[in-house]
Amino acid sequence: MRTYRKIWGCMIVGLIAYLIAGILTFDIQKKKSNEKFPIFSWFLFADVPQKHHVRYTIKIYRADNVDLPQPLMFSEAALYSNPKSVSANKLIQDMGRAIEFHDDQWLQQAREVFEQNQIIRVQRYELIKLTYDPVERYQTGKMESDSIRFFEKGKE
Amino acid sequence: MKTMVFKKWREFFSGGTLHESEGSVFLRQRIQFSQIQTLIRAFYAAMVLHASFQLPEWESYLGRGKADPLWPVSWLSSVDQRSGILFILVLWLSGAVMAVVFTEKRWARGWAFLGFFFFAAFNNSFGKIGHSLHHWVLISFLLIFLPSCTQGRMGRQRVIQLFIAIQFLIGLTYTMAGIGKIGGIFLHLFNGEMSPLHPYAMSYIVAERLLQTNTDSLFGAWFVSHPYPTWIFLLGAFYLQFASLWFVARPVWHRAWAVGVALFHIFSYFTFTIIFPQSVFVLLLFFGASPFTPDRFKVREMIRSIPFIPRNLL
Repeated sequence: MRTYRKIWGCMIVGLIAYLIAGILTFDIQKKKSNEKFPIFSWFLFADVPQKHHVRYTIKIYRADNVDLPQPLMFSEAALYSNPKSVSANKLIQDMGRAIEFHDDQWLQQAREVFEQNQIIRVQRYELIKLTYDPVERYQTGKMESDSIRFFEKGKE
Repeated sequence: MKTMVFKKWREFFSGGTLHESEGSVFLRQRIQFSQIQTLIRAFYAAMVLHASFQLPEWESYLGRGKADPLWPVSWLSSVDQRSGILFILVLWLSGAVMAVVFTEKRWARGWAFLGFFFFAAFNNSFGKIGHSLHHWVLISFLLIFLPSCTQGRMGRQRVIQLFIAIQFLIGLTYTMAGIGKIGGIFLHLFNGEMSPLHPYAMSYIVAERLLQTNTDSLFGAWFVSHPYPTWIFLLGAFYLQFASLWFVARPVWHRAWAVGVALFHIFSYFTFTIIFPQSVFVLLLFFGASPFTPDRFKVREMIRSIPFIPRNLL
């Protein structure tokens, strides 16, 4: 009987510990994720995008060592990257947020992984900030864009 | 006579003779124990299948660019990355095979966990941590602690207890998802923003997700342009997720809850293009085939035990 209780006790403590550790990984300020794999808050889609939603994307100017006749938005750049990639999108958001929070180390880290895995053939691109109402943009394409910074691969 | 015929029909369709053993606690324990052993082996067999399906991707894994390694594979930065990745892939596949063959050996289960843990960590070391492999990592970790001695009532009971712990852990992750969504309501309301309680919330969530990933889904456009019916789905998903731990505590609900959450995942793919196949598998394996579910579908008992709904209303 004692052993049974001991095992149940350990299990309950373990579950509570996972719950607490998971919640602690949640970043309420929406800055940088504190996630420590495989501990996770499981707070998926807890956030509702608002009418003035901000998102970052990139515009490609140079790829395969040739200047493009027309700069390409990331969403249209299937030839040079995978615009559907969740990782690519996350890295672009990280770069935007790193600049917003003046975190150079974070920017450098995100940029390196992004350039070496997601836009291997791209040499020059611009980070852009988009502001939009998600439903309106989905239905009409309407949005506002602001240039944040130009990047050249391999250069600061 | 009528009752007899009905009983025979019910037995035929429920296909069970197991209920005959309900009188004996120890016999029931034996049956549950043997079902659990089969389920655990099936879990490792699925791991082999998963690892085998990834074989054509090995070349692409090996050729990946610079990683931002998560802590379990931080050693990748200090070795040749290609060799390190090859080591992880081999460890993963061989560990899964070993765990199917030697399920009762702790070293084999440890090997399977380590291989899968490293693979999942490596796969998430490129800027974004995905969560579809988390359940398998957590389950394979807990399975290491299966008792080595499963002889006798005590040994069998410990296996059953560990299995229950796994079920509760799975339920907890879904309840945490529900807690996050309820927390989101308060946070948005506190900031004077549109919260999930707003009928347009789901349309905004779907539109933003599809824009984010430059994709379209089967139901996406409909969801964006029909906020009210869509919102009902959102509230239903909140309930299903938040109440998960309570459903896990009610074996009579195991099958129905697992199918419900699996359908939620499948539906999420057709709406958000987010896919969690490993979680769907785990749900259907550990709850759809739950050894604790009554042999017969007890609708009345299920209705009486719906979480958070007072019994006098039912």
